[in-house]
Amino acid sequence: MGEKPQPTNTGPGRVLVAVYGVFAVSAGARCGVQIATRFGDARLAYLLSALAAAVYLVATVALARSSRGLALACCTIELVGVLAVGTASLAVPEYFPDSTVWSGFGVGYGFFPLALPVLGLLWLWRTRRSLAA
Amino acid sequence: MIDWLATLVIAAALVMAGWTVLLALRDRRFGAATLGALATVELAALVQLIVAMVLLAVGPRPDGIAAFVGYHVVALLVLPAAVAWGVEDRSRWGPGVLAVGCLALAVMTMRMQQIWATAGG
Repeated sequence: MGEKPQPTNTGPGRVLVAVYGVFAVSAGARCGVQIATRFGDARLAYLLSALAAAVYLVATVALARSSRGLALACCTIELVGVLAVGTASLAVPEYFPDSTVWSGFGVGYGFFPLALPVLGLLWLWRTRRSLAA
Repeated sequence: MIDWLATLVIAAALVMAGWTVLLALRDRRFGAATLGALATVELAALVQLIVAMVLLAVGPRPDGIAAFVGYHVVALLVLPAAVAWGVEDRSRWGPGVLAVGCLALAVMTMRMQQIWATAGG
């Protein structure tokens, strides 16, 4: 078991980092605008969007630098977040007067918020051992 | 925002996305021709930014102007970032990174068009 795992930032991982980067920037910019211009309208939704954006950013950096533990934590938080917020946004829509990245399991973003953590976890699993193994 | 210019940027970005996916599928790296084409798309996005700023200064403004300006600025950074990140990968996944950047630019430009439509212009 002493083998070093593969880096997470090469091959398919490079594309994954790119997609994560796009999401980190777009989710971050969007919730920055929402919080700056109309925070009072939907505090919970905007704070959740800010949390999502922050986790995407950390996940991007973690995958880009092959920090496996951090990447694993981020992908897990994202998966739990998108499932919990997705369910809550359908069950109690009155709590979410404006949508978040994770509302409706990410339907506003082509379900990428649901797919990304799954792809991230699969990628971490695929690269868990060195190529020589 | 000028409709045909935005449409041109979207179309060019989608063509380049298709091209880079094709490169990835054929297991090719990207070369000077691809970079030159991307530079042209980037130039069109830059022209679009300048035109949008002029229109904002003189004419009706859309709702959500902060988001609109934000999209424009980020849109300019997408392709350089994708090239910088993709160029280091010596496999088919390099062009794959470019494809992600091109698609992001196309989607962002579509969002800008939607926001601009609220200005009635």
